[in-house]
Amino acid sequence: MNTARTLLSVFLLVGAAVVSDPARASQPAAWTDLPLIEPARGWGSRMAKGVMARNLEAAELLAIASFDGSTPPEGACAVLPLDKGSAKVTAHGEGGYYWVSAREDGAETVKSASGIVYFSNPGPAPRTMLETVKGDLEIVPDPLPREHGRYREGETWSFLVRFMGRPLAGKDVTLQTARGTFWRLTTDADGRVSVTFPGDITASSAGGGDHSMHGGGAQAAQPGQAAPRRHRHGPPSTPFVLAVEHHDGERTYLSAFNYTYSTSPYAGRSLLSGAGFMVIGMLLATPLLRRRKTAEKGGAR
Amino acid sequence: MIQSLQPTPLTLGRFRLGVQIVMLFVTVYGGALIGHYLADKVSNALPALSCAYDQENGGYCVLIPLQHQLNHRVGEAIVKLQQFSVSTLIPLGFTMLSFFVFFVVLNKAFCGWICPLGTMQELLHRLGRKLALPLRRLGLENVGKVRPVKWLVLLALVLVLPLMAGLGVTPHATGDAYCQVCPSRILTTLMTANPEQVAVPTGNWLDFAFAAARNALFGFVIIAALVVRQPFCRVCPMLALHAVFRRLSPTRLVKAKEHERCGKCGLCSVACPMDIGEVSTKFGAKAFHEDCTLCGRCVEFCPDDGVLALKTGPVPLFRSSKDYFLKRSREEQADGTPRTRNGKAREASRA
Repeated sequence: MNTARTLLSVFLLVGAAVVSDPARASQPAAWTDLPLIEPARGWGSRMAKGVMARNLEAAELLAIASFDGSTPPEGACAVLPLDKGSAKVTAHGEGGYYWVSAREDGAETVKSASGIVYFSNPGPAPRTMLETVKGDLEIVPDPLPREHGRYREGETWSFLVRFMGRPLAGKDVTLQTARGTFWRLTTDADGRVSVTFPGDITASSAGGGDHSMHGGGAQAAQPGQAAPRRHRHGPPSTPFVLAVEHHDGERTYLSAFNYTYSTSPYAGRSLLSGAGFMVIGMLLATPLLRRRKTAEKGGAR
Repeated sequence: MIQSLQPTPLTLGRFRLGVQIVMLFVTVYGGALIGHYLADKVSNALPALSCAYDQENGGYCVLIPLQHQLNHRVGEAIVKLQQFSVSTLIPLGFTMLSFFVFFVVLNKAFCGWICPLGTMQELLHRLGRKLALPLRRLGLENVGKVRPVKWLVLLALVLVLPLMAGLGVTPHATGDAYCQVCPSRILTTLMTANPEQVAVPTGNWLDFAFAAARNALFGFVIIAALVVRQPFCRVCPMLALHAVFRRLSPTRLVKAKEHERCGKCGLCSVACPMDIGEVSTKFGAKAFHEDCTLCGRCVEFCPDDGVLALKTGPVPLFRSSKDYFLKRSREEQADGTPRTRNGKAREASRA
């Protein structure tokens, strides 16, 4: 609980300094009006990645590494100044999942954006980091896709909505994707919302390829929609955002969590052909099953 | 230790089968018990084909980080030569060290006791024996032809092609060339009711070719395993990787004592699922062959006291004995043909 209080107080301090940056007016419009944490161009390496806070006025970014135990180790929690909305998140020694969030603390409205940055080096499981209360109103993946995994079209994943650490039951949650899907969902009695990712990438592009750790595939953007992103060698992916609004006393809280999801595992792939090749392999082996009438000369015996 | 249990029906074969079944669940479904994330896994450098495409698994195969690090670390660092340093090799060193920490305890028993693909091939072969299908043993000549293949697979698919992909010489799909054709990728994912690894990509000829080869190989292996013992193990690069390090582990097969029947009765090599003739004809270190999976069947079916043994250092884990051989032979013949209740071998033609 002390950890939760500490992180929550750090988060509130981050939001206390609000800036107005005219430079950001020159940025291309985001695909949604909801608060976002997006990758920033120009920064990216194995142990450092750039992120940008969009659709909210925040001065600083909170970055929390995954950690074991009840208390984050030194360096696992960093407050980074936002320069024109952007900051560089550096892995503090270990890789894995990092939680990043920004907050705009207005007199009547509090906005926050949250996202995940992944560093492909070994690091602790993000379980404790996700369970820890990091803000007042939060949408938290429960769980995140495992390393070598991702959110994908047609898959159902759970997210937890909580306010001051308490689950919010019966709350409306908005799902919006960069491919134009807009759904309203509701949290259950435990504050969880189940999200089945829409098939809007496959429907609007020729996504596909080998959905492996290295695959490839085509992608196409539709007019008026954000182009699917491509992880360096993975299948096409598209951003989504989940948002929730909550009133408490005189203030309205708006919190969003954004990440990406990719094409269906069967997009651009043929299960029937795969089964066909398997049958070919089986047929090639069937002569081995035959009984031989005469003793074999040499070779198998 | 196990010999002390001889008065009970527990044999080394049954004990090993029990371990294999437990480890099959750990390697294929273990994530449900130990956790969902990579950090929760037993290791990401297991000396067994526990596939990362299986989202429910309890640990990853060492060949995955080995290929990735050769591709993304070593290969890419060589391209950017000024960035190449000893530190580039550190992750690779840690991967091999993690592998060795596991390996040093059990040595090649990871193949014979833990690998999910090895276990499934063995279960399929038991089914084939129950169905009285013919048993096809590879003769000495064919065994000699097949043995080099595992080294070629290790060299080409696990080491060279991933490195070449990192250097930008070969297409990126070759960055995990072995994973692209590994039948365990299909087996373990199908066991979690997930058929997606069966589907072949249609947008890229190389991805298509890899997937077609993988599926055909899987189909071939599951049928061949009914009549040929451990068909894929014979060409598996993990067997070759184990062979490189096998002398560094204290756990091993020992044939220290020469008996007048050695090289004559041949029961040990008949019992061997890898058709290793050397276990019958050679002595000392040569009897512990590079293809040995430490399954212990040769020790079980050796009819002479103390000729063969599984040992860890000086400690014997299991030694051959006449009494055990007689008891074991009442269950099945050395070649795996099960016996009926009256002790006769089931009808099974040996092609």
